[in-house]
Amino acid sequence: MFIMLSQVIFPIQGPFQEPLLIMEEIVIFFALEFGFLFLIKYKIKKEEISNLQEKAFSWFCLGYSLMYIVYIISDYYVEDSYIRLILLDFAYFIQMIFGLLFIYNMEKFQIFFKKFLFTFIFIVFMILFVICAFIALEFVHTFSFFFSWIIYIIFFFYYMIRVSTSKQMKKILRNFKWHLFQLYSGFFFLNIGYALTTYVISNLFGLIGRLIGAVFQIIGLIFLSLYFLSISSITEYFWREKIDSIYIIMQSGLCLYTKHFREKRKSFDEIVASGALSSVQIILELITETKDLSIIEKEGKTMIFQPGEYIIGVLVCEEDLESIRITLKNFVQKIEKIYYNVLRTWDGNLNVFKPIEDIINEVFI
Amino acid sequence: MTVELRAFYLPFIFISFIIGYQMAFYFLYYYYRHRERKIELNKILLYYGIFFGLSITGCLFDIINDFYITNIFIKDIFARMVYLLVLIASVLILYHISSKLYKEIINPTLTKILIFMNIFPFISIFIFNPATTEFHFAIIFISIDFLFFLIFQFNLIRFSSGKIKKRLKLIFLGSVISYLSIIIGSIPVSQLANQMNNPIIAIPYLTTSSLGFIILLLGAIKFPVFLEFFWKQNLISLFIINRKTLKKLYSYNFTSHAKDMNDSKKSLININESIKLISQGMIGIIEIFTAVAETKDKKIQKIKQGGFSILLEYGEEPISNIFFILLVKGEMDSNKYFLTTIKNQFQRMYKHVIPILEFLDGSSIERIFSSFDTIMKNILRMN
Repeated sequence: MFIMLSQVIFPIQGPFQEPLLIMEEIVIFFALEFGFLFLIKYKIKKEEISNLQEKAFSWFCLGYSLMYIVYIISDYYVEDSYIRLILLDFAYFIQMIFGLLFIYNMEKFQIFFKKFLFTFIFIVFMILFVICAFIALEFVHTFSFFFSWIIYIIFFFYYMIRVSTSKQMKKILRNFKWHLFQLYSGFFFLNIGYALTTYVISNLFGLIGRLIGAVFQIIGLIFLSLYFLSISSITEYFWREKIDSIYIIMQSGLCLYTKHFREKRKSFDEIVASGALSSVQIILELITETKDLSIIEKEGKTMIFQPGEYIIGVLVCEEDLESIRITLKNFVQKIEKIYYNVLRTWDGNLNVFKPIEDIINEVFI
Repeated sequence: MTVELRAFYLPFIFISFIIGYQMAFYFLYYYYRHRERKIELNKILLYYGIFFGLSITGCLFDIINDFYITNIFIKDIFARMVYLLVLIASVLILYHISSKLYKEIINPTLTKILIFMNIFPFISIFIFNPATTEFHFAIIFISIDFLFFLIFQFNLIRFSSGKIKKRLKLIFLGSVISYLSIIIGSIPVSQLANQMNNPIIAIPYLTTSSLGFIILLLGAIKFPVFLEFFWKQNLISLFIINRKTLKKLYSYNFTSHAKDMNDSKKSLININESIKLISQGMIGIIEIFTAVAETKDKKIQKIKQGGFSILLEYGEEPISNIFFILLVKGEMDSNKYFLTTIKNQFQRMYKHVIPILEFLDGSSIERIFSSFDTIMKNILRMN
């Protein structure tokens, strides 16, 4: 019986064809649904930090579903084995492109070892993948499985370790263990499920294994989606340790508020600093003829200028992360929203800006 | 072709059902989420959820019966279950529509007559054999029920506004397309198990059912609180007052833009002009009530006077010295929800500013809180 089940002949036919098609199309549906759901969420709330990870996961899901569509066409509808091979390689290539987008967006949000390290490795493997496709088409499948999937696994492992060892998150989150469970079980089910559907393992366990694999992938996708949906409250804490100080200055150069998140340096005149910072922004605006976000980078330190209608928010931090930029923009908008009428006709009274301290503590600490 | 039409048809139909169940789940979820607000109209979400959930289960039973069941006895039970589930769904939604809440939208007597008429198909599905034509007599009643429900949905859109109107339009469109799929699929579906090479029926059926459920799902996701009809017309004015200083932080006159303002409202506006009277008067009432009723730990929520109501909300730490007064005509649960929304938004925006008010002069305070106008306009856009 086992031997009979193990003989997987393509295109898949027989009693397993219908249940397999149902389950695998449900995998496509869930991956597509989650992909669009996260993409819509990202589009609606573009200016929120958590959305960078949501955007990353949406690419992952969309790639997964597209890969599976090609996968189904090749395994159920194509009789020519050579065309099937080409289609399968095409499916892996699609998944690699979307996988690259996933890793790139995740690394935009936070740094893993080195800035864009995994993105760089992934690009290298993609180039090798293309070269391999031209030289030896029959090895592309193995190449893709052993290299690109391994990078995914290492990346996810590193991410999971980072999340589970974060003391700050443990302290802040009530359901920390539940979130970790979602992440770990999502990762486990998706990978085991995917492995069970591969050609090598299907030949060992037969189509029943592939059916179980499809069910595992559905469970894995649901768990991972639950994790990424609930992650919004968690993600903010990764970038906070990177911030040095913040300046809120009027367009005229007057300092409204300064806060140093680390030890304050001596012999540093804040009034002069704010005037100088304002001048920097004015010079940049004059040169570029745009009133937009400016970033000045120096090794180990970055200055981000976010101009509003009346004020300029300046952040001094260790790295230029998109999450920090978004937070600064939201912060400047929040201050201008509360003080809109005050800033418009400001009489020099600094008392009115005392609450900024609490707003900063709420947003940045 | 290596794959039969059946293997193409079934995955898609199961995916349609998954979408349908998700949509029903969302309705039920949003009903339970908004339940504590105690707004009667929100019950429609519960009935939508039950209606779509039961109807989809009926369709699922039909598919299982057609494609997987061969035993005649079990087939009979499933055929009766299909009609029973859809009929229960129709009667439940009609029962909800017949309530007084919708008397302005649809005739409740007519709805009750329709509910009563559904007794006949209920009897018919138990007495007739599913193999006979008489058994399918229930289709006529189900079609009338569905048509009536569509008319109700159409009228509901006409009486709604804001975000909810957009959602109701989507639900209406989704319902129309889903009914269309039932019409396409109902008669031939049972034959499809035997006539699998019939893409002329299968493809439009799959397309319409999936599309209908997707649109319904889009309508159900993030369904807002269903506030009562015409709730905005009852609003007169809002005051946000500092209890410590008895000074007004913010006020909004809802009647200033009203076209057909009646005399009773006009007389109240004159009272509104005296902020001092309002703030001191309210605090006096609260103090007297607390002393007389010995309820220090409880707060006054509502005061009724003639045809008017004064609704009160209190700030939470760190703005516990702020209270919110809303003058309205009549009495609606939605007005209370509106005031709570204002309180939450105000708290979120000014929780850091309120503790330092004593250090600021009057003009600074006025300028800071005047920014709340933008938020107010946004809140007023709901429903």
